[in-house]
Amino acid sequence: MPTDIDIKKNHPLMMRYFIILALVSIAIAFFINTPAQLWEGLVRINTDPCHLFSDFVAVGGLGATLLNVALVILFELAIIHFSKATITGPSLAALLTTGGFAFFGTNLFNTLPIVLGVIVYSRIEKTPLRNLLIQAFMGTAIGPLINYLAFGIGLELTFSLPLALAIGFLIGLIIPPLSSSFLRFHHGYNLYNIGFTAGIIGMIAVAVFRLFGIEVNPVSIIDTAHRPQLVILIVVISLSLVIFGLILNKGNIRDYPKLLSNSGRLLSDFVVLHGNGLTLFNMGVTGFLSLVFVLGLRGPVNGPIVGAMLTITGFGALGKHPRNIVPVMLGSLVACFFHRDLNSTESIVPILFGTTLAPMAGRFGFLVGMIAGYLHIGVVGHVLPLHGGLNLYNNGFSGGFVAAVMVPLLEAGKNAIDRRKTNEPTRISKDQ
Amino acid sequence: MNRREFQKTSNIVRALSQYFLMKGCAEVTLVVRPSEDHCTITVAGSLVINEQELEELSGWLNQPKTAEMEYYYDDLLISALEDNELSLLGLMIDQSQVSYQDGMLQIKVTRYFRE
Repeated sequence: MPTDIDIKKNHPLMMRYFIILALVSIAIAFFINTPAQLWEGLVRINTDPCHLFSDFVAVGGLGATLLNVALVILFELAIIHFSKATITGPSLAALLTTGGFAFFGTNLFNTLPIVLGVIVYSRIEKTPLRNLLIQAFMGTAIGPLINYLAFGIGLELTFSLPLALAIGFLIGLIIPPLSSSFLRFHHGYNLYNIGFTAGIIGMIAVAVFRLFGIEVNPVSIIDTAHRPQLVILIVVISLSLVIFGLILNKGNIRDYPKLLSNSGRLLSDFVVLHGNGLTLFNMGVTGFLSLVFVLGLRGPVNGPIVGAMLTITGFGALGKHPRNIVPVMLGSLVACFFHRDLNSTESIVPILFGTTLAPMAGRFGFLVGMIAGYLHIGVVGHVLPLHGGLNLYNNGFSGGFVAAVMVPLLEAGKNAIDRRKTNEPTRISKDQ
Repeated sequence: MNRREFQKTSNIVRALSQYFLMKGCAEVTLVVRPSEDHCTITVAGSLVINEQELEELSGWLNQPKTAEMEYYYDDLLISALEDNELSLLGLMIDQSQVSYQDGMLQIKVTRYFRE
């Protein structure tokens, strides 16, 4: 098991990896577009209502999207640096998840007020900001609510802008206590816990909108023109993580089976449990696996699907590994095979994000993982209209419900089997 | 000890006692010693534990303290239904001692309140 010193020693390397990733994205953006095109694209991305599914590659172009991804990552790295945090599993997951969602919903406009709200909350609570970074970064799941208020309901900008920013700030204030509280709802078996929290906030927001006669309906703005470029991007990121991990571990992956035996239930911080090298290796492998899955289905590769693949890669540091994601993906695949169009973005995205329930397979086995994946496909479509696509992590919202229902039942079943094995009476009354 | 630390200490006590009870311990002795800047919790009981389980237990408790994580995730320590893993607990404590002699397991953990 790595020591505190090992993790702190590797922190600058982790920072450098993400800085290089962001700088390379910026360089590619300037290579494929002119500064004027990038600026115009970035303005479109930041002023789009950007609820699900608004593919930024279609909204602002590939160059501006890469620039947006880089800006979000660099902003978060700056927050990590100034809050004196150390990069471990949750921060790796948050960086790649928000970087992935910067392909379809996360931008600096909706990130800033939420992070500011969390900063103020940390002052009120008298706790260092580094204790709240995950909530600050992942809280951007509800970012489209800010963009939708500012640019989607047709109010005068002089009124809608301050209103949207104030609501974003308020969300930043309430995300930390709410997200901690909702962990207990699904017992840590839904990895995208803040997605569940954001879903509840989004649901209440849409309910209030409806009181004012405003309807929020999901959209589908999807890019179809950049498949090869986006495939190369995922290959490069996954490969770089595998190589970086192997270098850090000096080519030794003998302990990888130990990582694969982890259930993945929160909080399975692979950096703390298995070290940086093995964690980065696992992130790269899970990223590759998701890409092989998508290519095997001959599915589209666009902003939302790249976002999903980057999220799986990121959570390769916080609970996901090939052994616990495959059963869930297969279960979702079976559901889509029978009930949906298998090759569509609307099917592939929840198949990939359904791995939020990977700990179910890790803890209760392959079959339970498949059932969880199957149920997820049913629930995820059902809960989307509740928040109208304002919660980017809709699969985390759905996963929370699936886990909350399945886990107590599975535990009760397990208890009954154990009792039968030990011949223990089922119930003992007080007067016996 | 402030209110938050009080809650965290209670969670640690509950997680440790749960571990002993789930291992079939018939009598658990628990000593909690709070002071101004830290709290020491000692739990002991007679139970059967093999070498691998002992090693696993020490591994969990010797993880580096990660204040960044425990702030968000510490409630999971008591929400686990059947799961008796103590890996989360390791992130919340500064020092731990595990001893197993003549069928008696003793776990002593110390948590400092400073950030």
